[in-house]
Amino acid sequence: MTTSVSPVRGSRDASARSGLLASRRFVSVLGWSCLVSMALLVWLGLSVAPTDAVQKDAQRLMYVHVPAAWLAYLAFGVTAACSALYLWPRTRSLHYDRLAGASAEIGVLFTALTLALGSIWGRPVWGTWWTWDARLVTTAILFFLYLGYLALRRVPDDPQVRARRSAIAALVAVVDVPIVHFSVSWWRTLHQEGTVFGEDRDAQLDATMAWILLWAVVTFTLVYLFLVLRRYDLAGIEEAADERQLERAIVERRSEAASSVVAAPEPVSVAVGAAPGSAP
Amino acid sequence: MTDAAYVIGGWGLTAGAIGVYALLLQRRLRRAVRSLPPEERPPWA
Repeated sequence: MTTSVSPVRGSRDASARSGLLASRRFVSVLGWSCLVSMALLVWLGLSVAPTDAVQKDAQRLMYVHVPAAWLAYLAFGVTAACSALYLWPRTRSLHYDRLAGASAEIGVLFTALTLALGSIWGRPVWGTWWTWDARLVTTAILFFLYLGYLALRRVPDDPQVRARRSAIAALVAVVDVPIVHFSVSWWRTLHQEGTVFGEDRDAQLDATMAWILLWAVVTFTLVYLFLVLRRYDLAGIEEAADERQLERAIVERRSEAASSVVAAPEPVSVAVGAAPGSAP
Repeated sequence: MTDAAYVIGGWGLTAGAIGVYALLLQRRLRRAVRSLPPEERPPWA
C-alpha cells in the first residue's frame, strides 16, 4: 500500500490536496476481497451456521446486525481520532479532516443499517418493529448526531475553519458511542446484553456461530476499509476541483477588473467634453 | 411472515445498501475525475 498522507498545513495547492491514501492496485485487490468474503459470509451465515434453539432462523440476522453495529463504532472512532489529530497543532492536516468526514459518512450508513436490521430482527423476536428501549434510542441519537455532523461539514467556509468546527463536533458526538455500548448494562433494557460475552466475560455463543460472527466482522471491516478509501479519494478530488474553480473565478474577476480600469479613461474624456482641436 | 422472510429481507437490505452506496461512490468518483484537467488527474484515472 503506497500512502501519500503528508501534512498540507493549509496549502492551496490543488494537486497536493488530491493526494490519494492508497494505490489503485491495493483498492482493486481490496474490492475483490470484499466481494469474495461477502459471498462466503452469505453461504456461512445462511447455510452452515446452526439454527438457534430459541430464536430459530431469525437469529441468522445476527451475522449482519452485529458487524454493522461494530462498523458504526469503528467508523465514528476513526472520525474522532482523526478529528483529535487535526485539532492537535503538531499533526494538523486537512488530510485528517477529509478522512474524518469520509469515515463519518460510512458510519452513518452503517448506523442506519444497524437500526433497520435491529428493527427487522425485533419484529419476529420481540413482536415489535420499534420500542423505546435504551439501546435503540441511544443508537437513534447517534445516527442523528452524525447526520448533523455531516450537515455541518457541508456549510461553506474556509477549509481550515470548517475542519476545526467539524473536529470539535465529532469529539462531542463520539461521547454517545460508549453510552450506546454500555446502555444494555446501565439500564434495564429489552435488548439483550453482549452477544459473545456475558457480564462474567464467559463466551455465551456456540463455537461455529462465534467463528462465523468473527468472519462477518472481518468481512465488514474490509468493506469499511474499501469504502473509506474510495470516499477519501472522492473528497480529495472534489476539494481539488473546488479549489481550481475558485482560482479560475479569482483570475476571471481580476482580469475583468483590469479591463475596466483600462477602459475607464474613455468616459472621462467624454465627460470633460473637450472639443476636437481645442487647447489643453 | 416467516422467519426466513425476515432473514432474507435483512440480508438483502444489507447487500443492497452496501452495493448501492459503493456504486454511487464509484459514479461520483468517475464524474469528479472527469471534471479535472488531464494534468491534475490521479495516476489511476
